[in-house]
Amino acid sequence: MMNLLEIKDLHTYFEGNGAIVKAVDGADLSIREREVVGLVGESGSGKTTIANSLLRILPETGRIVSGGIIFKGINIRELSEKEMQFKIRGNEISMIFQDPMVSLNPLFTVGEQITSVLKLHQDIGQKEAKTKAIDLFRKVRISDPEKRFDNYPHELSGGMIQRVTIAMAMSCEPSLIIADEPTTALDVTIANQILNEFEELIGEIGVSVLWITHDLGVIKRICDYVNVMYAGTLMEQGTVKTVFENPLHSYTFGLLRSNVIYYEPKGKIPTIMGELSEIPHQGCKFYPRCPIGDEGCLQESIELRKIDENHSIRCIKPEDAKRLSRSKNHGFQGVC
Amino acid sequence: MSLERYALRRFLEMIPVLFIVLFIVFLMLHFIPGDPAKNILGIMATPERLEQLRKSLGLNEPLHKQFYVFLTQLARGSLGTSIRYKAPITELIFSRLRVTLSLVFMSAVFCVIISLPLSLWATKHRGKFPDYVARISSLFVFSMPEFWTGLLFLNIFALRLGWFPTRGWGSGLLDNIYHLFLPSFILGLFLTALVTRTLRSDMIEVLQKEYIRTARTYGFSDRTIYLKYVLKNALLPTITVLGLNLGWLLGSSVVIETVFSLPGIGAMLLDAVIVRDYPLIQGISLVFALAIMLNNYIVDIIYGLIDPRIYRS
Repeated sequence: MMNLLEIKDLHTYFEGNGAIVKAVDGADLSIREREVVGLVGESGSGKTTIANSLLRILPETGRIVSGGIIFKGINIRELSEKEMQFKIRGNEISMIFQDPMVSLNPLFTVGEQITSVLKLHQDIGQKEAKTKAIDLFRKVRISDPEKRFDNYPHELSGGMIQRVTIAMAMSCEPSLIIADEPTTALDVTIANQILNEFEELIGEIGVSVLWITHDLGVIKRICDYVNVMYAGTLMEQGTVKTVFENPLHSYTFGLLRSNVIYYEPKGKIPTIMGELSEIPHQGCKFYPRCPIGDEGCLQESIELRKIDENHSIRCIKPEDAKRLSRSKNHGFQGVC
Repeated sequence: MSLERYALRRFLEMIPVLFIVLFIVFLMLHFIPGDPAKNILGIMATPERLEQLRKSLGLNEPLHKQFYVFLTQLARGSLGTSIRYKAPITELIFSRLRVTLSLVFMSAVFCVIISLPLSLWATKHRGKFPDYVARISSLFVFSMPEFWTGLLFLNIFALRLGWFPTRGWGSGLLDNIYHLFLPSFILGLFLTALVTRTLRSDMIEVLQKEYIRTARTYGFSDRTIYLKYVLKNALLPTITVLGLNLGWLLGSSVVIETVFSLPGIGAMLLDAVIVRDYPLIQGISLVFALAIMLNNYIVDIIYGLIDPRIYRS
């Protein structure tokens, strides 16, 4: 089965004031049809930059240095700007954003905003677009959709606007929806509701989803596959079941361990000490914070390698990580 | 609230302001220390003439009665008689208002057709050559007082090159526009610079907004993004700046009309000040004040049209 999207060894850098920031520095990721794939990592690990590279909407200072982005067999990097606008953005790949309150234009009604997307990508008039938009609103369970159509974003609640953006993301029947932390800015009950509805909807319309988040709970709940990023590099990937039950990278393990939902802590909650900013020039980027790393980890660049069919890691000491995950002394310092 | 109700409410809110304005204009005559009649006629005036003037201006009456007379006269559409021209002030103002309004309107047109493309161009190429052109030229314009720019342009384009008339208003619409070209261009320059700068910085700010990223993500072209979204979202502060500067524009029209010998009310105000024609000064001040009030009202309505958050919440 061919992959819908295949990202191979992507490098996206930002340049400014003479310095280069390697926001994405070796990311591999693939998404099959109708699959929900999670991308997890802490803030600043380059998750959103991957999404922006995918749609080629990087800020002026950013550029894709190397790597391949193959979508439906087409190399996204080779498309013209016009092709990106008309074929890809909003049409084949659409996006849902982190903060619903600021992701829609405050000076246009939500109806105007969704119909303008419909009219841009489909050959339909205002009337037809409006009917379609109201149908979509109904689908995402917006109450009283005819009335909501003429509302401005400030007149709706955060959860309602997020429903509008979900409707907008589905409007042109895309093959892939990128969800960039869409529940982070919502309160827990609303986030839960929206998550439930979204899960149902994607099953219904059969779309692939790239779910970007730092919430492991969400990943476990809705994703089939998970990718763990650290400092712009992909550290571990595999099915949610394998990775959550049998993490082979100490970073993944640390992330899971610090989450009280999966491991009831005996005493203090373990955390990964240190900061994302301490990155060695060579070798494993996680080395400064890793409880099992030694000099060997800094010797050469470490490749992503397959452990089995559904599991890859970028670590040379998976056995030690395995031992770590079984031992009582997990190697991470506790706080709280 | 609907836009109509918002417009009505804003209109009603103007009424108390109107009374305050009227009162201040009325008091102008009394603000100057000493006897108003003496101030008008000068220290050499004979007692008979002073008494005559006091009578015609009603200065012997108590203050509240004078204000009452002022208001009733105004209600009948009269602002009194000019001392210098010996003619009704309303007639004098109306005969010249057309010139000043045309001047201000034409300078606003100049402002829009120059600043809009220039700021869009500068925003699109921010930090590059076009941006520097826009920023340096507006800084240059800021540093030149309009009486000086007026004389400079008059010297170059009217006297040396002979492209434009040096003075007057002409006859007929096209001739009027031709005569107003140079003065309105100069009057509009400062505002053009101001609007270019404001619009440029606001558009750059809007470009960073999440909703612009949304528009880009959904495949809208740069053209649509700039003209439909960025411009509309950045327009509000610019309209504030424009609205606030109308007063400045009217003040500057006094200077420009004098430099170009245009028969507008700005030039007439200067004349009135020189000959101490206080009733005329009062009349023109009232017109200016009303113009600014009306302008603020229009700005409020435009606000509502652009940003419905203003009246819908």
